[in-house]
Amino acid sequence: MSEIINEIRKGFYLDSVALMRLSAEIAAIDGIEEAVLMTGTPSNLQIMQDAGLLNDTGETASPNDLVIALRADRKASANRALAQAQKSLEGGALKSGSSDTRARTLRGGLAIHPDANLALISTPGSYAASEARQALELGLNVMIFSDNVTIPQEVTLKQQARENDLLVMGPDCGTAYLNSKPLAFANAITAGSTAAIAASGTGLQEFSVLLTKLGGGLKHGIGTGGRDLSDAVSAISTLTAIDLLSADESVDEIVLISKPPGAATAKIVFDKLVNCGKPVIACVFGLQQDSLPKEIRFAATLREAAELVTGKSLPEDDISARATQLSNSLNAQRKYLRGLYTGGTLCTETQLILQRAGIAVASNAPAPGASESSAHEIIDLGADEYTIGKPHPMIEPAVRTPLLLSALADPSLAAVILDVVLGYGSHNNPAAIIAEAINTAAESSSKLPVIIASICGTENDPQGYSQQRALLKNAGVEICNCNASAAELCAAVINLQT
Amino acid sequence: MRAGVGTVHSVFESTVYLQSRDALCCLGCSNLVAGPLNIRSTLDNIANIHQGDTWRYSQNRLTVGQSPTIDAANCENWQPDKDPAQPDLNILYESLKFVNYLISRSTRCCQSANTPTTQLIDKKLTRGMTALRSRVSSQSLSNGALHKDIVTMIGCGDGLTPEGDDILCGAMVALQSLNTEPATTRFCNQVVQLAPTLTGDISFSHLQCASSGQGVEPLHNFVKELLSPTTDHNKLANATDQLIHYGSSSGYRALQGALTVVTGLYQRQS
Repeated sequence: MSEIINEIRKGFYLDSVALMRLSAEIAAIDGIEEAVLMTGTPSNLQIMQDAGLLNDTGETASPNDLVIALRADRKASANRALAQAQKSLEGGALKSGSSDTRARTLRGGLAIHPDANLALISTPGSYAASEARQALELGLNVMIFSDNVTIPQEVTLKQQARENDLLVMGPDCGTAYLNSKPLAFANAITAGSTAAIAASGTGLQEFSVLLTKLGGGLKHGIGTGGRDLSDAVSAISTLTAIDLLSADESVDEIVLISKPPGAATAKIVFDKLVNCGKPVIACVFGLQQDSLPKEIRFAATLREAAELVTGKSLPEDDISARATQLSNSLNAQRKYLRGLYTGGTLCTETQLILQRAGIAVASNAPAPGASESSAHEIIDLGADEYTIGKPHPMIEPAVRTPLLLSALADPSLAAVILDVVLGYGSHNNPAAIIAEAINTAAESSSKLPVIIASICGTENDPQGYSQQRALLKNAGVEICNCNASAAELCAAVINLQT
Repeated sequence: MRAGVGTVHSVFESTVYLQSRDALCCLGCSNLVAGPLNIRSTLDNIANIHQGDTWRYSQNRLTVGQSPTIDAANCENWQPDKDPAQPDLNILYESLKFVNYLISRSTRCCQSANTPTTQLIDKKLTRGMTALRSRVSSQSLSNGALHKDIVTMIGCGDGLTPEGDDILCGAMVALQSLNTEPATTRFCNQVVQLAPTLTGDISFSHLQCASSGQGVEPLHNFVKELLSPTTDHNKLANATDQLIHYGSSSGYRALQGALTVVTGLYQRQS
């Protein structure tokens, strides 16, 4: 027979999070059938009564009392659980204790860690700017992970930072590395002497991962945010980053990864890079070699940038032979491609490679030169219209699944191309989600388009590169060594089909 | 805040409630959300403040227990936007659809454990919201006594501010934004008259504020965007997200309350 125990704490207040936490803790104890901690309002007492949790003691509670109500399989379990609850409540385990060094404010954080020199801000956008301003006033550099910071706010913050010899990374800075340490969405990479300045996102991730694969290493990866190189923001953070990297003796070489800067901004940035005193490589999507000063080496792809730094080449993906083999497996009706990307820069790189191969591509995040409409489509699933109210596809790959299933069922598609991004912050097993979708599609049809993917990750990433590769290969995915190669393979297949 | 003396009513991780003879207010650090009860201060932590401590406010200086004195000489008063909303019916339909879509995708909105108790709570809250929506849509909000299912919502549910109270706060702020007088005033007065014996002091204080159209800033932002006569789904999504993430479940429940009223209004007018 169940045992019911109630205890009333008169005039005792606990915030909602603490109430939920303690309820869950008690409910998980062996022998406890149900446990609640609720205020003793008439409505709640009725609920406890209806749930078989209330006894004579509990009935006397008033709205300002906290009621602990348990039902257990026997008296011993109930007493044990009540003792646990009492211990938690009296011991202050639910409030900050001496061992809890969590700060609630930036000042509080700085008091605990007076040597800190960077604040990483991830709050809703409307609060991010004021938190960033406060951090700068406290003498901290800032990494703004949040988006929805307005351009005027961004400019003001960056100007304030520059005036005080500080750096603002972002807004919308998803990836950074400082002293080779990954920040936010980033990968386990090798430390080295190369530094990168990027808008920050998958471009920086792919570059740093390829650098690691080629035996190189990254010292710093500074994310300046997607708008920094626009004429509106005038590259304030990029210029600060160049100054910092130029003065850093542990940095041998600087790599710039970006979309084309604004016309007015480009000259300032390139002039500064030319005069920074270190070798510079620029991978500026949409620009050609002749747009850069001759002192700056040009890389058309992230792969090329990594290969220029290290002087080594990635293993060949044998594009021509593989494309022929894959094309032979497709019927003549299959002519078109669909790209489903989680990373914006990878999406851009793929579009440009396809354009160079003579394939007109449309996209919701068009690269320079993209077509307004085309049967070939590359979708950036990390763009706002796909992420409002939904988790980012890097965190929850299942948001890509409906579109992937739709593409795999499309008899006009010859190829589907995907990116798979590993690392800290990303889903713990994205390959499994993709493999599941492919298996589901295969149950409905024996004929699928060719599925091509690259994996942006290293062996030391939480997901494990080899394990993810194996899962995808078993599902029939054609894996390439990098995004550029995957795009080239895709282009070759499409050109053979059309 | 008026000059006076009182005691600390309750202490939480980053806020304390201060009690005077007839009111409560909430003192917190610089990251405290703007709201009618809230005092956002320069305090870094409240470790030195205990339940029962004395607070004193005089000549723009607030002292609470052993904590450093807070200088309120240059403090700003936050007030929500009081202009009544003039929603466009077609846009309202799209906005309601969009918000419901966002809710269906939000993991935050289905976090509570599925126990017999939570099922009972959900049942009562659902019945209360159904009754409220029906009364709004049939323009019978102020007819007779408060519907029994709405009364049951007061003090009902988990949390320091029970979920039913959060729903009613959202509903009352939305009603006041729509300026559907005199029904709104009567309804709000009925809630406030019944609430003192049905819910705790802190939650009652929030209900009292909501009855005069004052809620926390994320709630006001949400109602404003929901009732906006122009479509901006980005702003609506941001406002929805911020409200859903306010508190443990208070924000989500307040959103439900506001949605209930606005849906009732739409049903009435369409």
